[in-house]
Amino acid sequence: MQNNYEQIFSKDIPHSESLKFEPLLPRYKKLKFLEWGVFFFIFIGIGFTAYIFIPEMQTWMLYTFFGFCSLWIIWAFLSVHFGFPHKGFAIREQDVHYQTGWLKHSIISVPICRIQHMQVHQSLLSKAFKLAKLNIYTAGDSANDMTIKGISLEKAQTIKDLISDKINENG
Amino acid sequence: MAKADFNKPQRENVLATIVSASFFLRTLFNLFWPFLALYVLKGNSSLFTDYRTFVAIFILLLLAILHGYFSWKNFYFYIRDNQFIVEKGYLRKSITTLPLEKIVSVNTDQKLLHQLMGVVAVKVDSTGTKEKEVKIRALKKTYALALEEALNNAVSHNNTVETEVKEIKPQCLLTLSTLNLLKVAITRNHLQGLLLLFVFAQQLQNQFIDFFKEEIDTAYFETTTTLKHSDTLTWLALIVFIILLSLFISLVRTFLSYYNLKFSRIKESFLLQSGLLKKKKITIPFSRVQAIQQIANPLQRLLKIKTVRLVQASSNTQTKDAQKVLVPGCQHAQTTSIKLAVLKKTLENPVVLRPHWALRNKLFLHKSILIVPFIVATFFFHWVGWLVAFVTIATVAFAEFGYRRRSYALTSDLVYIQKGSILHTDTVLELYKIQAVTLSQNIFQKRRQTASLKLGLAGIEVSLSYIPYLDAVSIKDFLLREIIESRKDWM
Repeated sequence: MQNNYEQIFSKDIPHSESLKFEPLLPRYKKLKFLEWGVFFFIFIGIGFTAYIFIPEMQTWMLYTFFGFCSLWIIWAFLSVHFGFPHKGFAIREQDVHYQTGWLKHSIISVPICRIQHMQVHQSLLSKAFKLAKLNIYTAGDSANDMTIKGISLEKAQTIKDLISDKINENG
Repeated sequence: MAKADFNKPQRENVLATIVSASFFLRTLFNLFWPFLALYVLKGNSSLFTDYRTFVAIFILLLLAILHGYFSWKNFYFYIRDNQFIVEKGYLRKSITTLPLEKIVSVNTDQKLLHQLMGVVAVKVDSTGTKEKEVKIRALKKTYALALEEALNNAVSHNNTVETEVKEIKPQCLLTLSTLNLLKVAITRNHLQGLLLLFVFAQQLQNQFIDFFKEEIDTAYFETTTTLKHSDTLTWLALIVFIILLSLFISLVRTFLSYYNLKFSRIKESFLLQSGLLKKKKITIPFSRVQAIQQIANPLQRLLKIKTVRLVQASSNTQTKDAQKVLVPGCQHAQTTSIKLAVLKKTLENPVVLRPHWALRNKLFLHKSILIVPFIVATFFFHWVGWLVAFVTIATVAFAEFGYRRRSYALTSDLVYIQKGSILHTDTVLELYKIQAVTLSQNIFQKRRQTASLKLGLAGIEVSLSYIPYLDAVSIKDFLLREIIESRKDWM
């Protein structure tokens, strides 16, 4: 199949297959567990409060709700646990890559010359974990923007500066 | 020839006062008309003879004219330091600044009021900035043209923004005769028109439900009772009436939007003019076209016409006009000349890729969501079972047709994607305009060694689904290199 492309792929092209992705910081996994934990605590709390205060709510409804929540919790746990090793980023001379996904693995690649602007973001919770994320925006739709999560604030700033320098260098 | 110096602050035409005043009055009317209608319908016809009504109308008119005048007096626009600047507001001043290189389009609109006064409104859209759109309410046509040219030229000529006010002769590519307009109307998606009518009726009902609840309930009850006891002939007549109504709506919508349509080329841009009551004029520089789509439903294919969609760089808040430029009723030769004008090349000796057969399953799964409501309905009406069988067969057929039609062609400059089972949509784009490439592979694709490539552009996303994994990787690497090495500006 490869031979079919010789007419257009004649030049030596660097292969993204050989990319070495830098993993995210392990504490990002803990942060994700905590975020889900807080979410489920509130969500289940609302369901339970509704059961106590709304007389029309029957017991089978509560059981169904708990059943649904249990499945959701298992799914969230599995996606964080097995999804984490698949996350990572790679920066080359002219492009940035971010991989994610456990059941559906995807790698988004953005050439540096197409980056419109960048933003380093740190929420209150991620600040406690000394984590930050770097948003990289292109002119495409939001699906084509890249977010490198689970890195330290210093790292996010360094990458941002590095890419900014590269953009300025390219003019 | 007159000269317009856009380096200095310029005012709108004084007729902008009337445009502003009418907009002010229309907003008031839109807010209060249900109350006014209710007041009159409840038998208070004395409203029209009461002197206080006339005093109120006079005060409102005065307020509207004063608002229009002060808005005009405080509205300035100019080009300075490679930025288009608009200052406006009398109670609250605001300054909008659009960097010239971020301006996506400069379009003009001519509503009925504008046509009567011989002026046009100018809309300037930009991308990648906080404030994305500015509107100049009224300018003389020649003056608007000069501004448009000044904005388009200013980027390349830096501060040389003194422009001669003159008409440029366009090269006409397409005009729609009445017959062609009829063809466009007949081949439109009539369901869309019906849906619009339904939404409008729903809104009307919501407005009046509190005041005329009894009357609405009675009408609803009477209609359902009549329909329940009616024979086949009545149902048939009803269906024919709905078909005729949808055709009529399509006809009206087509004439309103595309009457007197003229699609022409001026140097390195297209000019689209159309409209009956609201005349619009959209300029599309070739450099800002990100992709070209040609769309045709079965009826259009039968009549050998297509709709060409020029996808421009867009942002979420951008106006619809700038985002989607639709050129209906194009024949093969016209489609080819549009593509050739923008791309400057044809698709020669491409590498053609066909998707893996598993795409058929995916298409079926996606479309099978349509079957669910019918299955649910079977529990209540047994005869719907036949419909379930019919919809399932239709879904299988759609998936099969969709799969058969899907193909991807690639050259060293272009990507061409063919898709669609009923509505054929072909997309062509230039490689260097791609913003991001995403390679994805789910567990089912992994088993079959296939993957999908998503190409993100400003304004559109296309995908090369279910192609061999190794090919997907090679294509991705190739595209990235082409984007990086390209010296062309994507916009």
